[in-house]
Amino acid sequence: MSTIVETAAKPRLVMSRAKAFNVALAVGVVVVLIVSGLTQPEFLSADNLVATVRAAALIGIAAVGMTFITLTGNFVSLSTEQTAVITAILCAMALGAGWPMWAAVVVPLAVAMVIGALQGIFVALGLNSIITTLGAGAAIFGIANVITNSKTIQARVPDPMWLGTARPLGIPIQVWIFVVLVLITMVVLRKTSFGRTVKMIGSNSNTARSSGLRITRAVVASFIIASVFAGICGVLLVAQVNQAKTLNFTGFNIDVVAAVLVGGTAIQGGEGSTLRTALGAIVIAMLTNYMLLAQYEYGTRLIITGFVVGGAVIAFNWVRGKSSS
Amino acid sequence: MPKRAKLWLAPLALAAVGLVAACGGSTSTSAASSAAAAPAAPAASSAAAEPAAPAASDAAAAPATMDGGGKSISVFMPSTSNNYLAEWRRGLEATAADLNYQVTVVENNFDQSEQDLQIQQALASGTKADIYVIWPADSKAGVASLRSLSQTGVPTVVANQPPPAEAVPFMTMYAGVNDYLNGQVAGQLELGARDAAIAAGMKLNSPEGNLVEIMFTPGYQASVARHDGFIDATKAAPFNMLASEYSGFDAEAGYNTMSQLIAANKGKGIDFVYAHNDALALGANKALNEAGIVPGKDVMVVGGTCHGDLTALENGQQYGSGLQAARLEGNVVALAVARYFNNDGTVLDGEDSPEPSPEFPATSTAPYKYNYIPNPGLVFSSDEAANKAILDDTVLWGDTMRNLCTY
Repeated sequence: MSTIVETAAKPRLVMSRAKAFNVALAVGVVVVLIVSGLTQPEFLSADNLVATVRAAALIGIAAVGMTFITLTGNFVSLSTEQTAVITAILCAMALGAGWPMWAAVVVPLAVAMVIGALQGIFVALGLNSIITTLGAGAAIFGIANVITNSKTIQARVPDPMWLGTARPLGIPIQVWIFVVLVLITMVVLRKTSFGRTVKMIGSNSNTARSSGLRITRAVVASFIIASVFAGICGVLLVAQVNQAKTLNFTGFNIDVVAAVLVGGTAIQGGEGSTLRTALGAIVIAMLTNYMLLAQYEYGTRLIITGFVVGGAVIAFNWVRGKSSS
Repeated sequence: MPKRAKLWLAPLALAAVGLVAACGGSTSTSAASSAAAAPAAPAASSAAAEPAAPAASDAAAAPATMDGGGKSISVFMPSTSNNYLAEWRRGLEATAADLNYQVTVVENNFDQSEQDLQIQQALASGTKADIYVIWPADSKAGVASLRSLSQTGVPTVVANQPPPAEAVPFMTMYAGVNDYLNGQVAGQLELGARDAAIAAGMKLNSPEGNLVEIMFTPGYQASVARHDGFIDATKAAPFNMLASEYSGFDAEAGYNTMSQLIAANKGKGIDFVYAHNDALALGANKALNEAGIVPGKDVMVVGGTCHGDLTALENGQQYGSGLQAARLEGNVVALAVARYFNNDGTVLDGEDSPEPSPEFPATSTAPYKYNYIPNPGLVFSSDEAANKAILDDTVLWGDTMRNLCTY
């Protein structure tokens, strides 16, 4: 009897916790906005806010994709950076070879899909996700070096691509894509059986398996989503700067993981949301921007960012522990 | 894995292979192709030194008198996954081959501890090279490895990053870029940009002109040296430095940094931008354009190292750039080695800073303690045809600026 009471109570706890996290992040964003605006008036200018969200967009897109992997309990992908790089390189090569834009976008994204699927299959078969993605990242980076001969690949598109430079309603296209992807993934996670399966696998994979959920399919799909989202970042980069090289996206893995963690997604899986991940990316970008405006020394900025990321992760874990005890 | 999924993965994999195969040819650029018929000097005026207008020379050809007889050069360097290092290696290997030297290269992942281990293993093998070349992953942390190499009694050349003063006795000589000079050249270009802006009627936001500097990453020695060189070159008529901001190495980093600097300094106004390389300048240009600030008209942008996309130089949105060529830096290392052996191990005190020359240096005299590559600055205008002519007709050490800057 008591077991029935417990299982009935659990979903309510999880829901309220998720809401609490969302509120906490939203409050965090508002507090940062108010404090920053009071101390640095330029911070609240429309141009600066757009620039800040634009700076968060690529990291945010990749982090939203990676959230699916984290939710399945497979921690994070350490091949996000390399997937973005090789997609960018393939896109630039295709454009340089005269391919039409749609093909130069779709084919590299399809390659990213394959890259994600292969990693997902290995992880679903039981390999450790960290080791798998670490190895995959090294292999992908090696391939990127070989096919470019360590040279910059010029897209050779005479006019800037709208995909990199358009500003509908004055907002950079990258930000629109970021917002749309967040909305789509929120619906997928909340309203589809796939989304619920992803969370269930992370919460308790044994239960998910015994319930007949298609774990392999969900894990592979999560890796595909993460990989394609990283690929989108690669394509957007080429659209913007008209070139690609292996040096692009340096440090991207760490930035993306930080956004996921600051967003409060449980590293062990089962709990989190893409909206929170997006807010995590924006919080980090806002913080960085504020410190730049306030002319903090670079080292000081790193220290503060480190404390904020670490503090957020500790706080979320503490709240999670309190509410589940 | 569901069967249906397997079916749709197969064509995607084939598409990937097809794309790579179809595009493979676009990755390579011919190093010497345009050196065959370079016409007269470009008309660009420049506050900085410019390479003299060359008649076309053959592609970089090392002096034939310094045959190395197959001596071995053992190189320890960070990974050629970095475009600059890859081009440096190609330059070193090309000149070494011309001079009949055998080159072996051991790369590390920009990790000094890994390089230290590689050097210890190489020394423990008992096989000595005729000369060592070390590009330290970290110039200060790499002192221990430099000392280990020097203790073998084999001459040791340091590349790209000069060692700190206390480690100079451990090196036979240095060969490579002079980042301080690079910064000075950029400073002179920026001074010229200010003169050009005033002459064109551009209204500056402060009497000196407001400037932002976009640097590489923190702790990167080249960034410190370039900043110092820039400040020294402009100290007689300094700019009003609004911000000096660390960024990265690529266009995306330059874009992000510049877009935030624009917002941060909107009330003050930015007149000049100094980016430590042209990839950062490219990103900065994108951010400026998006903000409605037209480079070349509303703001003058100078880059430190020409690299990659030359569009901004061609269309005049970038005022100037330093011709610091990675391949020449590799060339000069092999050349210094050959000069060393050609003169029975003599190294002269002081430094060798050759003037920009269209011909590959034919000197076979003893090398100096510090052997630098030329680093001319070039100015571009609103005349696109003239700008393209500068890129195609300016020849340094046997190759055009366009080729030297494309890697």
